[in-house]
Amino acid sequence: MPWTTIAIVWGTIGVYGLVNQSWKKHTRHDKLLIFSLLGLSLLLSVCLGINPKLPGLTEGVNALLSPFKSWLTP
Amino acid sequence: MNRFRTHVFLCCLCFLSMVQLTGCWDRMEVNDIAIIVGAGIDQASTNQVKLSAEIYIPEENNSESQSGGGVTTNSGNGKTFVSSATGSSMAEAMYKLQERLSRKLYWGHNDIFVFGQKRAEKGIQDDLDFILRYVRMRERANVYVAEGKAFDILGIIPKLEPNSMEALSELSKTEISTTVDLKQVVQQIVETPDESFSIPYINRGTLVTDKKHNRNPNVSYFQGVSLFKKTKMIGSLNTDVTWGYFWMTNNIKGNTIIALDMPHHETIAILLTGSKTTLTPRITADGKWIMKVKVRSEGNLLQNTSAIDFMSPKQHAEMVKLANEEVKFSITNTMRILQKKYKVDVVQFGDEFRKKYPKQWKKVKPNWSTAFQQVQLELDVMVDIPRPGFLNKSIVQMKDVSK
Amino acid sequence: MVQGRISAFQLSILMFQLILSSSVLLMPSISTALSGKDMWMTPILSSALGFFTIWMVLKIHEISPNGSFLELLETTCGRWVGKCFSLAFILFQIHIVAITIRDYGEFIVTNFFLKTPVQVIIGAMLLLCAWVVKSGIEVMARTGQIFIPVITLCTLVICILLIPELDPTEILPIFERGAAPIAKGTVVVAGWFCQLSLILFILPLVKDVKEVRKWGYLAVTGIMLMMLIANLTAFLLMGESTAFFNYPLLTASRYIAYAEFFEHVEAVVMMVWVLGEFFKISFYYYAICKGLEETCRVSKPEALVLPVCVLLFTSTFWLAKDFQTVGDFIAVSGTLYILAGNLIFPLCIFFVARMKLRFKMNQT
Repeated sequence: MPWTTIAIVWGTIGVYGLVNQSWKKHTRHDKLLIFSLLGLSLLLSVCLGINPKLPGLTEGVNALLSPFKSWLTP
Repeated sequence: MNRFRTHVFLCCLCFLSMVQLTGCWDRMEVNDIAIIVGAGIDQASTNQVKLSAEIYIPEENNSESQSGGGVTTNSGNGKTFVSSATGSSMAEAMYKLQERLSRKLYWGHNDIFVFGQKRAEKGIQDDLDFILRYVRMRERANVYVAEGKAFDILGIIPKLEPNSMEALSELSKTEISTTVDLKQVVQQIVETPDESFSIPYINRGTLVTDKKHNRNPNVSYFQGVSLFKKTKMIGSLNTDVTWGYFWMTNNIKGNTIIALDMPHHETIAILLTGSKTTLTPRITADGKWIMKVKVRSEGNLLQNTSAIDFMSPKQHAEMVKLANEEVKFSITNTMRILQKKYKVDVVQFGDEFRKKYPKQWKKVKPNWSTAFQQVQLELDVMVDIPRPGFLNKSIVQMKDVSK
Repeated sequence: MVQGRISAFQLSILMFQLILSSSVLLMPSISTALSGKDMWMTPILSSALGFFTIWMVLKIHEISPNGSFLELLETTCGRWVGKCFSLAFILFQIHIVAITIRDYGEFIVTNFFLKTPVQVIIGAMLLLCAWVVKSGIEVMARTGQIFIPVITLCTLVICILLIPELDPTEILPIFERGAAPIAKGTVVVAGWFCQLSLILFILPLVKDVKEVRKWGYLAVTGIMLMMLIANLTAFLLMGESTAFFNYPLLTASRYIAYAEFFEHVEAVVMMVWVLGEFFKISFYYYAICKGLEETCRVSKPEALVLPVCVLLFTSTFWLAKDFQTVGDFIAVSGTLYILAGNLIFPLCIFFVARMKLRFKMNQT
């Protein structure tokens, strides 16, 4: 993904978080979960920005299931 | 404070969605596009393709009359112009064509593709890939092969129709030709072993009228079908032989006229109102492949200058027999040409055998063009002539009665 | 995320659209490539797996504490191992929905909006789904009640308009290539039917669970009929060349032309696709939020909706190197993957839980 897209998306999220401050009212437990999800997404975005051809889950599963591929090819 | 923030947020959201609704990136205004109404693909020098596009010129609407009695001009009668460009492939040719036009080429209304003869003989599969893959094309577009250059065909401004696309489309709906669209071509390529199909063959010629009565009387007309094998044109059937082809493929439409050859220059002509052909394959016990062709047709007597009396049942039966013989001869002639001369199965025999005898078909499939030559025909033709028109006796017989 | 409750009938409508959204458009091509002329049999045969999935889901619901599959995981496998399994199951669903969203985006960008960045299209859809999910399952179900009949009607109208162009003899000869290609096609289509096990997340919210059996079976029958109609329309129109078009129903709808003015019906296909995918993606989205809420014991589920939106957006692009890998995946190993996750995993948990229960009963 191009850096401009990542910047726009995360910028929008940041502005939204600043404008709509209802997230501050949640419990500590909830806030932890919210921010860990957001942190995970941020990490993935940054990795995608550095390497647009980042191998994903699909490649992992593909590699795992490669011995069974011949079952379903036409 | 919270309500104010919500209002600000909602305003920002409305503004954002207004920007989105115009579809910024992909907007296409009507006066930004050049509408293509016909495309011609010719062979330029070796390995070069010439793409010609007939582009519609939108007419200025002059009916903004203050009096209110203005006649609105039918925008379908706009003129067209033909522009062409050459490239190493059709895609590159399109790109070069776009360079010369101030508006973006729009293929969404294109209904005809005309291939030049040389291009068809070289093979059309490269062009077919482009046409089918490009998302803006339509699978319903009709395909034709032109004798000579497609560029000449596109340039014709016919007398009766606004542009050559309309003329060709209307002409192919009549009884003298058939429509073959892209979907059918792709289907034949996938389903027949030899990638064999047939496409109507058109030519540019002069309108059949005296040059004194019409200036520039050029028109495109049909002269049979061209035969393709492995997406290359291998030959064509002329108009007479094409009748047999239409009988075989159930393409005979109403208004077809059968003229019977009679001795002493007499004529019997029948105007068909409908026809149905069914193909039934059969493999005999000793391995002979036979195709039974059953034709059931009905028509009215159009012209009779022979001695055969229509109203007498015995002679009527003889007339029917003569008509049957004519159709049988037409079919056998065509099949002989297809089997022996061109060795190509454009009459879907392979498909019929595949549906009924899949196991035997599987064995024969790799050598179908050889096996096709051995298929024998069994004809069962019945052309019924129920009505004689207005006259009950022919002109020839009327002279006899007055004596 | 307002915790509403829905009826079995509403759940069945959502199930109906959940499976049909992507299969009506993508399936004819894949099943023709695998099964050839017998591709029309594949929905009929794999609907057996649809019925089995409904039966299995209801059986699991019976023995789950509070009707929740994730709590069953915790009681069966112990607290922390169960939570790990729950998170893995949720991650599996995130993977599947990411493929769906990417598919949606690629379809729109390839066929209609060639120049628009795919991020805009996917972002817009996800924001809309976030809104629906935040409003709750009841809102989603009622929206479904309004729009899903419209989607079904439009698809049927396209199929009916094509009837004059269809050639019924294309199906012959039947069983041309034998049973093995049909079996392969059936397994791939079963990969779609087994997505019904997603309702494991939603069953605790259903008011009249006893009716789910009847309505579920009706939904599976409806799905089978619609698949059959769509498959037959595409195949009888285009023959075996169906395998070579990416979106056969879109190609078929472009073929409609009546009296030279009723043309260009592919806009209807786009509408059907966008609406259908909206329901599929929001259903998955809701299930993921609900799953995370139960696993991590979140007190206020509304908090999760937008972070999950961002996570889904990012994972749509993290999915694979490029879309060709995804396409290749869907056709082959993807089927086995989705069957393993949606069918075999819950089945194993069910058997283990049943054995544990019997063991306990034998002891007391």
